[in-house]
Amino acid sequence: MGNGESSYHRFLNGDKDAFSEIIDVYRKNLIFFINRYLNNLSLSEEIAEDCFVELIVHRHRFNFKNSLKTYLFTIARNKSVDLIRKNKLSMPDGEELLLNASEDYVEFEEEIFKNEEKKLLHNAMHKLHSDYRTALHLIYFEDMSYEQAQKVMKKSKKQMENIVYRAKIALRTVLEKEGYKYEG
Amino acid sequence: MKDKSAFEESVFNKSEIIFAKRKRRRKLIATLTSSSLCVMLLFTLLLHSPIGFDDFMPMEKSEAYAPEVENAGGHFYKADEDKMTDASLNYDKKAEEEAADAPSATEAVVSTAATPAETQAPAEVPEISTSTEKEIPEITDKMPLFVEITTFGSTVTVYTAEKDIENILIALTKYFALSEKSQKKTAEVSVNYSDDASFSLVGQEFFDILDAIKN
Repeated sequence: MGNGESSYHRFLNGDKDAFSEIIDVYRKNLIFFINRYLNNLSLSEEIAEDCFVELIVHRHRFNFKNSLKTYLFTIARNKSVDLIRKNKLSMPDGEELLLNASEDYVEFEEEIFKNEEKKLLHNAMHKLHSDYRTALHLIYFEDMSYEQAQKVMKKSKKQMENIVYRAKIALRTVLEKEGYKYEG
Repeated sequence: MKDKSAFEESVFNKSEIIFAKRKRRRKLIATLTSSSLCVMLLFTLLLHSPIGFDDFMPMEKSEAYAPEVENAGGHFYKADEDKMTDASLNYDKKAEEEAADAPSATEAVVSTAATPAETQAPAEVPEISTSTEKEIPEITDKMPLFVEITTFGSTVTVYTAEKDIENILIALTKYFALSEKSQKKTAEVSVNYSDDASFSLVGQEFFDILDAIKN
């Protein structure tokens, strides 16, 4: 049982401080992940709050078979997609994310990316298709396994492998266009 | 963007709101359930009480029938309620013994799935005469012989002087308000003529013939 799961287990047994630990660990990354879908930091923050509320209100739904991170990110993805469908929004593609980045978002990005390489990768990913972006984000930024990422994205193992393969090729193309050499 | 403590506070506030809504909903469901149980209990007590419903419904049985039916002339049926309990109505030809202004010739019998053996004789039956010497009354909108089919298994007899099967069928359709969408279309219709010639129209055949006639 990982850190998240043990904290959640303690919370279910009555330790409220354990929930603070969970929020501490997952909050920023969750908001960042949701923002890939919504391109709106304040809205992403609200959705992230709703994800943590799910952990409190529907305690019986998490069965400890998967990691808490996978579970939280799955909820986040589902809520983001539902919101997009409900409000008929469109997932930001291409360079929309970069062009429309607010000051808050820029600060937030600075906080998340202390590693320049990751920041470079993140900027290049903006130009990819939304599925490719999500897959690479989960695997390279959230350090999820293929199995965990496929659960979040609700894809089969084969589909996930295909998506990641094509995403890497697309990313290499983008980086090479910008003058970087991709050593994959 | 909020800081960690504000974020956490917001999360706990939202969950408190959801829990409060859930509690209110459960309370409302419990209240509605107990109220409906009380109503059902009261109703059950009333049903089984010695007072009975008759005390609340003093209407005479004869008042259930429209007065104009009685005065329309011709024949009409006033069912005996005791014999209606099993929903089978049968009009015997005991009116042959009585002198009346009965129309002659044709008698249309509408029966719903019941065999004649299962039906019971009502207390009062309309007068029937198969004599051809009597004047044949005209079929009008105020046909006094209309009796609604109540349930399957009941037999209803409509007396008419009309000999034309087409007119009988049209009249039956009109009086019994049978339609393609009505569940009563499974009625079995047999028409008996005075010369004992008869044929049966079962179920959809009735409507097929009617459609053919209309077209």
